[in-house]
Amino acid sequence: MSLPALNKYVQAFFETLLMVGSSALIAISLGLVLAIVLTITARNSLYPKPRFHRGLSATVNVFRAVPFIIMLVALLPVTRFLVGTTLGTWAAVVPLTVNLIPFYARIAQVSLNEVDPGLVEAARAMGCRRWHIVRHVLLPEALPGIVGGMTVSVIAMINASAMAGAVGAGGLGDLAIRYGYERYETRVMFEVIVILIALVSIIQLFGEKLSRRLDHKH
Amino acid sequence: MNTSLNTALRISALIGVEANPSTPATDKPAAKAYTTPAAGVQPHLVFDNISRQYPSPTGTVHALREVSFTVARGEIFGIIGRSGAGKSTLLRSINALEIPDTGSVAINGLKVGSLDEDALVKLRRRVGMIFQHFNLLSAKTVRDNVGLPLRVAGVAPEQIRARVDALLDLVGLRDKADVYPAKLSGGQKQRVGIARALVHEPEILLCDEATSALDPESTQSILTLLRDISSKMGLTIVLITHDMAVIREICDRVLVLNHGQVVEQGEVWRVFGDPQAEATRALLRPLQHGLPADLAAQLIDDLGNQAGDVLLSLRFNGSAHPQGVSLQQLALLGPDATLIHGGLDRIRGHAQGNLLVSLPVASWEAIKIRGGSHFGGGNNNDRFQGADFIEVLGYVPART
Repeated sequence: MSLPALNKYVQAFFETLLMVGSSALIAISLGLVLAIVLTITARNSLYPKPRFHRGLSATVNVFRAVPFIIMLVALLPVTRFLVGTTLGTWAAVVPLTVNLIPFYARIAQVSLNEVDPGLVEAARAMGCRRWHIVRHVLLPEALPGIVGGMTVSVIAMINASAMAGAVGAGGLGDLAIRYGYERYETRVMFEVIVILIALVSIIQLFGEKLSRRLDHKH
Repeated sequence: MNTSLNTALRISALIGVEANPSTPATDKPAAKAYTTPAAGVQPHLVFDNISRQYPSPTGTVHALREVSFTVARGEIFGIIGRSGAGKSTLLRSINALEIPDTGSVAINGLKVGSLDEDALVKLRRRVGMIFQHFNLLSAKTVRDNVGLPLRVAGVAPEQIRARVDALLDLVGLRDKADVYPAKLSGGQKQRVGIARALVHEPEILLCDEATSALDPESTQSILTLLRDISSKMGLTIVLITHDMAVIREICDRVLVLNHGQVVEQGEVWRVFGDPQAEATRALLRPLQHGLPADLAAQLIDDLGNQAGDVLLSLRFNGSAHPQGVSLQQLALLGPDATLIHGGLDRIRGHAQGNLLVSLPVASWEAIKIRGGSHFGGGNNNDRFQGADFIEVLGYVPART
């Protein structure tokens, strides 16, 4: 393989990393906040606000229902406002992030909901205030699930980033589509897929290991 | 255990003043501020006419109905009842984890239902609680679990460390300080729970079925630990259980709940010796030496003119013969009397229980006729001074 050809892969690889990495960072932070808000405003939870909870939950559902490719186009004005352009790698970060926030929020919410109510009761009985309970009980106890959810989300995002090629974002998926599909260079497509498989496997392996290390339940 | 307890008390005495969250600095001067009055003036806990009901798919459930009682300072008070009798709701009304619909709970005269969050947090630091399933945080080590109540109260890390070490010494788990709870046995987990509940040096300890998930050996050691703590720290303990053996083991007084109502309460030995309510008798049955099934199968109501044995149940309720049963008295039943089943328990210095005795009908008739000073007479001919109550269970025909 010639150097420029190799360069093409390296560039695509880093574009994917940049897209996925920066959107994941933003989306996971915001998604976690959203998950906490959803959890503690539920009925019988720490700050019960049933109407607010229902509204927020419905909004999350709306965002989760819209297909990514449509969101990509629908968000163009927002992207232009935030990034200044609707083309390129950074432009793809906006829809990827918006797409991932509700997805990750739901995963994290499941983990937070699974925390034994007995632990929350024990914390109340020992004189914890409500934010202490979020900080010392809900988050640490749900952490293995929260980290496991990150793994799932990042991998889902690598997948979605292929579609970001539609806004000229580049990346591995885009490489596979342009060369493999549009130019019938099947070999490029296979090579890209092998790289993606390797990438996904490494993230999965690392994610599982981290999640296991954080889990002291057994 | 004694030395480590003393260490714990000494250390806490050294660091207690600054760390005690109910001491000035943040205290509000208002009536809601929580203070500990002089001991012995008033009951520690007063439950006044508490009712609580929940809606449920099958109609309204009355968890508690007009429950009133008091708990004295320093006593171990047991609340017993079947599951669903309202015990849990009652216990949780003490630290306001649940608020009754009507009525009030007062600690040292302070009604807990009316407190705002600040006052409640302060109060809960004076009331420790342990749980059936321990409720330890899986993501924190033993040390961090025990130290958490202090940490959220803003106590300095060095003080937390010293106090946690002292408490782990007290419960005998110093060597497990840095392991995670999942690596501990049930009994050890409950010891961690106890250490955590005591870390603020509370005046009240609430035990929610604290031994129900433990094996008999761990149960014994946890009960012993609770009794030690109660006597040496002067702690008031309120515990709920469905197991009368726990009540017998450590409680001073007991309250029996049935369908949300108080059906009986009093000193444990009195309730055990002479239960008044059917619910109490049902709860006591597993502990009593009832009629063995094989004997029950042989019993008949009337022998007619046949020869045979009479089966007597001698019951001792602990009031007339608190020291125990005189063998001389039993000997009055004659040389043919056989002790076949039974037992006595000493509860808070009162011996009680029941003995099943069989003896030939002929000797029984003779004793009854001889009667006199030992067996009373007239309409009281079932009384026997050697026992508080004597009952003819039935007759066993002689084998031919």
